[in-house]
Amino acid sequence: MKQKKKYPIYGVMAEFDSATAIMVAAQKAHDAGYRVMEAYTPFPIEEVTEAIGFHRKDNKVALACLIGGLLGGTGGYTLASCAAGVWFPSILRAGPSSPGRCLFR
Amino acid sequence: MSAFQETELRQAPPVTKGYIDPSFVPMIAPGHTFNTITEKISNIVLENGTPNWWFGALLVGASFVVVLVFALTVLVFKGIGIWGNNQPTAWAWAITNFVWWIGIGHAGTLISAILFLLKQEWRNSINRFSEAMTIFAVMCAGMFPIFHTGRPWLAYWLFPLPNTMGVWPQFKSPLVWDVFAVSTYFTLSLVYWYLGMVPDFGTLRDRARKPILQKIYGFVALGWRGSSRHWSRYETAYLLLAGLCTPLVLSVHSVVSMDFAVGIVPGWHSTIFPPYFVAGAVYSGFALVLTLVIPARRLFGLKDFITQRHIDNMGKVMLAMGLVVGYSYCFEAFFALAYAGDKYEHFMMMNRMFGPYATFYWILILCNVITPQFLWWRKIRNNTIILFILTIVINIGMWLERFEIIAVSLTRDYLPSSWGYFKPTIFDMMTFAGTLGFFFSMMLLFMRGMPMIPMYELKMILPASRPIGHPEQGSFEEEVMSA
Repeated sequence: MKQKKKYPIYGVMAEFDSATAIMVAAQKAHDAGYRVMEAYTPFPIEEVTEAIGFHRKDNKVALACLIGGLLGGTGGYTLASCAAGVWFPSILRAGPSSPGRCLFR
Repeated sequence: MSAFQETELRQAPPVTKGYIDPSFVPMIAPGHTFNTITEKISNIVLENGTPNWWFGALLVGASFVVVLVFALTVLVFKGIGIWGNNQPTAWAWAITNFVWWIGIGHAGTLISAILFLLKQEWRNSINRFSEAMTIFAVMCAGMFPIFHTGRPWLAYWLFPLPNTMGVWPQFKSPLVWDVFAVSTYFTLSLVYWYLGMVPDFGTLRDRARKPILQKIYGFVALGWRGSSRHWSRYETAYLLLAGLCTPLVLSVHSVVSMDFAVGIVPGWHSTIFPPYFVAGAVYSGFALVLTLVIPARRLFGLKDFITQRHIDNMGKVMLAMGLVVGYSYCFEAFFALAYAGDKYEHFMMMNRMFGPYATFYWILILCNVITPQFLWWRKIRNNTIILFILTIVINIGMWLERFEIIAVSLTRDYLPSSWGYFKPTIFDMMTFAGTLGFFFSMMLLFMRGMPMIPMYELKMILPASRPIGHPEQGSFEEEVMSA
C-alpha cells in the first residue's frame, strides 16, 4: 500500500508472550531513557508497573481512601452525637439532666 | 526450594487407600494456560448458550418469587397480623429468617476479604461466587425487617434523616446499629464484588461478538484497559476494600446478636452471643457456598478450577466452625443450667430441651453438632454427594438454632400468665420460601451473565504469571540451576 504522506513516528507497539519478556522490555526501554510508555497486561504484574516507572508513591488511591474515611467517620459520629445528644436528647437513666448538655450520657 | 520444584512435588500425589490427598491436588488442573482459563470462563457467558437445566431451575426459582410477591402484597394490604407472630412471640419467623440470611452472607466476606489478606490462593476461584451469594443473601435478609415494621413505605425512618418532627433514631439501641451494620455491609460487599469484576468485564467486552453485549459489558467495565497504571491503583483499592471488609465479618453478626443480647429475655441476655453468632454465621455461610458450588462446578464443567482441594478446604473450615458452634451450645447450656444460678435462665434451658419445642432442639443438636463430626474423615470431605447433603442438613440446623434462640425464648419468659405458643402461618412459610426462590433466581442470573470465577485472579495462581527474577521465584540463574 502506498503511503500518501509521511507522518513522524508517534509511538511504537510490541506484543510479548510472557510476563518475563514484557518486564525485561519495559525495563530496557526505561533504562534507555523512555518515559512516556504504558504496558497492558491481563493481570497485575508489579514488576512491570515498576519497570515503566510508576511507583507506589504516584498512586493516590490510599490517600483518597484515608480522606474519605476521615470525612465519613467524623460525619457519622457528629450526626449520631448531635441527634442523640443535642437535637433530640434521649435520657435513658433516671436522674437530673439538662437537655442540650447530655452528650454521651 | 524453588517454586518449580515445589510444583514437581505437588504433581506426584501419594495414592493411599484409593483416594488422593487433596493437599497435593493443584489449585488449577494441570495443562491450563492463560488462554484456556479465559476461554473456559468467558465462554460460559458468551459462547456456550443457555443450558436447558438453567431454564428449568429459573422457572422453579421465579415461581417462588411470585409466591413471595403475593405474600408480601397481602402483608402490605392486611398488616403483619397475617404472620403467626403475636404477643408474647413478637419476633418469630421474620427475624429468624433475617438472622439466618445475614449469617449466610458472612462466608462470602470471609472468603473474599480475610482469606485475601491471609494470601490463601485457593480463595481465588470461589470468591466471586461467594461474594454474589453474600449480596443476594443480604437482599433477602433486608426484606424481613423492612416488612416486619408493618409499614415498609416508612422504612426510611430507620435512617437518621432530618425531619420536621425532630424525631431521630435511638442511637443507643442495637436495632439502629443494625441498620448501619447491615447497610454498610451491603454497600461494601457490593462495591467489592463489582470492583473485582471490572477487569473481567473488560475481558468479556473484548470477547463479546454481539454489539449489544459489547456495549453492556463495555459500560460496566468502566473503560478498563489493563494498563499497568490501572492495575497498580486497582490493587491498592482492592487491598483497602479487603481491609475495610475484614472487620465487617466480625462486626455485622455481632451487632445482630446484640439485638438479642441487650434485651433482658432469658435465652437472649447472654454475653457469649457475639462470637457465638459470628461462628454460626461463617458455618452456615460455608455450608451454603458448598451447596451451590458442588452442583455449579459439575453443571458448568468447572472442576478444573474448583478442584477437590477447594472442596476439602471448605469442609475443613466448616468443621472448625461447627466445633465452635458446638462449644457455644455446650456453654450456653452450662451457663444456664449450672453456672448462672438464675431460675429463669435455668427454666429457659429446660424449656428448650424438654418443653413444647424440644423436638426442634434435639434436631438442631443432631444437625449442627453431630453432623459436622463426619467432616473429620477426608473420605467424606471428598465425597461431594455426601458433603452436599451435609451442607443442607447444617443449614437446616442453623435455621433451627436461630428459631430456638429468638422465638422459643420469647414464648415463655418471666411471667407464666403471659406464656404463649408460636405457630407459623402459611404466609410465614410463603415469605420464607419466596426469599429462597429469589436467592436462587438471582444466583442463576449471576452465573449466566457474569464471570462466576475471577479470570485474572485465577491467572495469577499460574506460575507463569510471575516474571522470572521475581523474589518469590528466585533469580533466573537459580531457576535454571534448580531445573
